[in-house]
Amino acid sequence: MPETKTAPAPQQHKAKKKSEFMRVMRQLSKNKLAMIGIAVLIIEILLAALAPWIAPYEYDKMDIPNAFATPSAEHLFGTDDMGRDIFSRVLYGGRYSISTGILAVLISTVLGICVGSVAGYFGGQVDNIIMRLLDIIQAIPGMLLMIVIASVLGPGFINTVIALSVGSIPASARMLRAQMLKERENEYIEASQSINCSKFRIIFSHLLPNCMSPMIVSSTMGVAQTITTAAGLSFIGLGVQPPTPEWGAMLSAARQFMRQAPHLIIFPGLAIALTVLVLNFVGDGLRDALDPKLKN
Amino acid sequence: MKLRKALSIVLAVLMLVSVLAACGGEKTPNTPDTPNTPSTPDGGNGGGGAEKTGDGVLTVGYATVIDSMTPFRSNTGQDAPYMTLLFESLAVLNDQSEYVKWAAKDYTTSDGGFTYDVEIYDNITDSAGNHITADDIVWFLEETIKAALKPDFSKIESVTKTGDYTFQVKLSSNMVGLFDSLMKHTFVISKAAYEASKDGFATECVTTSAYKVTGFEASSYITFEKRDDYWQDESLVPECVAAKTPKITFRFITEASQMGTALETGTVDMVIDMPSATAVQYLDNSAYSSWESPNMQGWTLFFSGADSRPVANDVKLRQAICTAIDPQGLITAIASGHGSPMYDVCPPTAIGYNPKWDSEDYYNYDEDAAKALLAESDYAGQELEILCGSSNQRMAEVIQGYLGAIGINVKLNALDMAQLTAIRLDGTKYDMFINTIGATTLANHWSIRYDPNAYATGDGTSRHDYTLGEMLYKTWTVDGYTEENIDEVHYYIKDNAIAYGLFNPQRFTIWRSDLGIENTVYDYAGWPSVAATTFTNA
Amino acid sequence: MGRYIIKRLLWMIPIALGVAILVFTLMTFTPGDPAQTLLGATATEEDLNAKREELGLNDPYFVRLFDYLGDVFIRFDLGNSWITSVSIIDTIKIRMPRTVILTVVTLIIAFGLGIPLGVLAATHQNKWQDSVSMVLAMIGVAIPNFWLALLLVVAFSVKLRWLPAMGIEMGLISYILPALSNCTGALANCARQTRSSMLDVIRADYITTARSKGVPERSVIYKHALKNALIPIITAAGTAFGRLLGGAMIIETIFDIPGMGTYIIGSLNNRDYPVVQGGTIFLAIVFSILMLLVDLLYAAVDPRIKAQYASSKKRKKVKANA
Repeated sequence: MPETKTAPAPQQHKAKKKSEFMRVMRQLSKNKLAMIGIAVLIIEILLAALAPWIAPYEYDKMDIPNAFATPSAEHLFGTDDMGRDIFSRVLYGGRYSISTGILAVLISTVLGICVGSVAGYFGGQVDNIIMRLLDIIQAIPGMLLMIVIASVLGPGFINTVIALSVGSIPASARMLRAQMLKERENEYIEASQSINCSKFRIIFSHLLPNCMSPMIVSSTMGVAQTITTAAGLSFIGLGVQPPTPEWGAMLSAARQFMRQAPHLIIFPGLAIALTVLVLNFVGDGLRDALDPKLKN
Repeated sequence: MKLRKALSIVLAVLMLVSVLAACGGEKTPNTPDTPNTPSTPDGGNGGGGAEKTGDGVLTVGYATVIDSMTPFRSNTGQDAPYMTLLFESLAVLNDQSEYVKWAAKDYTTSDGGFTYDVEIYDNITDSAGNHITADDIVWFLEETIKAALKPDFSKIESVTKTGDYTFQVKLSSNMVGLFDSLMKHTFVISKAAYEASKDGFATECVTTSAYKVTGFEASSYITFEKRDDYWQDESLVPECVAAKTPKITFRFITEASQMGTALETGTVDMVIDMPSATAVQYLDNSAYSSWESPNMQGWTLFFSGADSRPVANDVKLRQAICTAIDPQGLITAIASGHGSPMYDVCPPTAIGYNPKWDSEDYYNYDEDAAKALLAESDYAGQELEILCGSSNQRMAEVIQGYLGAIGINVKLNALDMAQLTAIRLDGTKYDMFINTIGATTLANHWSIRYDPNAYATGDGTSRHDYTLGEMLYKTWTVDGYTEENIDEVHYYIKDNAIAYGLFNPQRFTIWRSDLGIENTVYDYAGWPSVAATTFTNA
Repeated sequence: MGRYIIKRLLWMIPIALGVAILVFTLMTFTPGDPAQTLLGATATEEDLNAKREELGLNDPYFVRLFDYLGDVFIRFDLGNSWITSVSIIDTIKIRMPRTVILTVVTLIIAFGLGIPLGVLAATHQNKWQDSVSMVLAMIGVAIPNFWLALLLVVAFSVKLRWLPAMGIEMGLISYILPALSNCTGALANCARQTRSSMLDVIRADYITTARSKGVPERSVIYKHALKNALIPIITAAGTAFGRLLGGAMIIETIFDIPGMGTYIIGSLNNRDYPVVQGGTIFLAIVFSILMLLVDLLYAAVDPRIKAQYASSKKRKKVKANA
């Protein structure tokens, strides 16, 4: 019985969502910084993805007699302490750095959504227990928690991603829960409840889609933050294993040569800074576009 | 409105105070105890030259940190230049690798190196005024055996006091150099002072050397000042441990990129063991002077002896690996060009090393020959694993590069000290292990690494090579430590590529040229002895 | 409000307990045998077993956990370091103030620069000043702290010789470079927060009134608007304080500041579990107290929230909005 009644709703929903999406896009396209950000990001991701085909050298090809070469036509960014081409390494590094950021945020956001929506929808004791558990994780300084988890798990790509994601689960869970509490008061939810929609269905097809905007913004920012945090972990010797050219690991290895060969730390550093910067541009743009207060 | 504002300010202040209160209300770092403050940074002195501190304190930068001044410690950090300033030991090793008596007045052996009778000076006092007798030494030896932090001490069978200042030590082995090494590691400390200390000398210690500790902050700095009540007649003190410099501060600098900065900004007057990448920047600068010494240990590539690993039973594969590595490349990349190739698993500084080995072939770098050897081996593209400490990751990367060039697939496993310590003797966990082994004699080095009975799992890499074992045992005795027997072991390890000496980096000490150094004295580890050297302008 | 404070303080007990259990469990699963680390690679199996017995590592997990919780929460004893046998709480007493000083200096720089930047952006909304300030703030976030630290050391210590590059011997001056490298994130947050709350306030009626009454623009901005916009900025400072307190590990390492960060990281590398556990629990408690104070501060400055503490049902709603 409920089937027939709610049938038109998703249709409407979809139409509404589509127009909403178009509106956001229109709004976003007006934001110059965000557009620059998106363009740079796309280029970066393309470069990283196509690294095996466009990188002029193998990222681990050593040429010790030619170490510390300064930037030239042959080596765009110069070579590092083992004579490896820094340009190629920065290209390959993008694969690891950017995917570390995205994967870690993806994991923490998905888990955060699960936890947050359960807490937010059910409320009461369930909410209370979940929130107190999150309090425990949040009471430990984030960086410290990540460092501890990273040393428990040991080095490696997957382990680093896990370490980076655990600490940010509470934040996204909290955000979703807050959003959920706000949405739950809305009439359409009451309507769904009154017609006996399943809880699962209410959460997934009604509540969640309407809670997503702040999540999208915070995830974009989260990716940026995670990339710098990952670089920090590599810097103190945790994180991915060499010769994987992760940007933070490149910086960490090069720091003892920074005085005589500054290009060793400048290029990977700039790569991190640029990526984080454009991600923030996009995040900001999205926030403005999604925030109805700033519509005009 | 006013009330609100006031409340907010009160709360903000409360917030700050609560944190400060929670930690004892100590708001400012305690200035009186802190070491030598750098000279006022002088913007006008921009020529890159060193600044003259001349404050009477010699401040030395060093990378290895001590967390505690306890005399009961493992061999880690035993060569740190401040160790001899804390406690006097029975004997000391000088820069000629000879053991000289220090707190011991005399010692004799009666039965071919198993029993020793030792006499100490009768006038030893520590910085708290305690008089030291044979009881203290016996107590220290017994405690050290119990603590089991130094493997050599497990070979002591018994210690007995034989007089007020004499005692007898019985050993279970008469291996060359064992007793000397024990003498060097037996600290003279007063039992009463140790037991009176609230934390076992961790933060405050009573010294027996010519210095007393006047400032200490774990992992940060340690300051020594010359005692005016030192017990020994200065003419009887071995030259390498003489006390000439009145006040010395060691400043621990763990961040390698900060070493040069510390020297240039005058935070330190001298850096001992500066990483080569930084040190080479000062070699051509007349404002700084340098001292280079070969590393006492050298870097060695150990192959796993565990049957589950492809390298364990494949001589050709091991030989291919040795031939594929260019020591010169390692020296360039890792030691900034300052180092020497090795011709044995031990560096030439080890007692018993035969210089004739230097002129013989030692897996000369040859990519084609390596490929040919690889083709003869059973290697079928497996992923081989190199284990190393996280601080030697770069060395492992270079080796990985060389092996990749002949088609060997290598994975790195760089671990922190704790994890490394846990698995380094377990050959099933790696194919190759990059390590450096400190030992004064070849026999000592070999016993740590290649004795198949040394550990529950076999030798240092889980190998059970009893042929090698028999050869080793022959060299252990004083009579068996002959050129012939040593040669036998050397060629066996070399021909079978059981381990491979990679290269021996030079180590650097860099200091301000205007320190006014007269008569540099070196310690056994090859460092300029900062206490025994005269600085006219510290 | 008194009841609320007591309730929150009581809540900190289970949270601290939870943190203790979590860290203790993590340490249990950390690879690397502490006995082996303490005794070195050449220790015999017998020695190792004796050491493990001494450290209590041979006991089952729950026995050790309850022993530890008993020590910490009943006897209020964080124990001694395994490596140096020095009391952990004594070490914290010496090291915590340094981390606090670093954090305070960081905050002063971050808010000293962030507030003017935010005000500038808000008062010139959508003009070039706005974009430049915001882009500057974002560049600040984008630069990794440790990278900035390396560059600042070369510039200010080696080249210009203005500031010490390491250690804490020169008092407050020693903390300037570390704080500068560490402040970028907080600075950017502060600038954004200032900008948005200024914008909110500027649109408010009483500002319009003040303007129409002919109050000079400068006075409108600094006397009326900024004063009212400060509420969220102050609470942001509280949160930033808490976050920075536990986040300066890498900076402390680079600048050789013997604070809490280097203490905990060094002990983690040495598998000195009691120190890692004790340090973390201590920081967690400090952080929880700070957050409570932030919430109280927020309530104290905003009467709307204060009113809602009366009813617990309404409080939840406020939290949700926060």
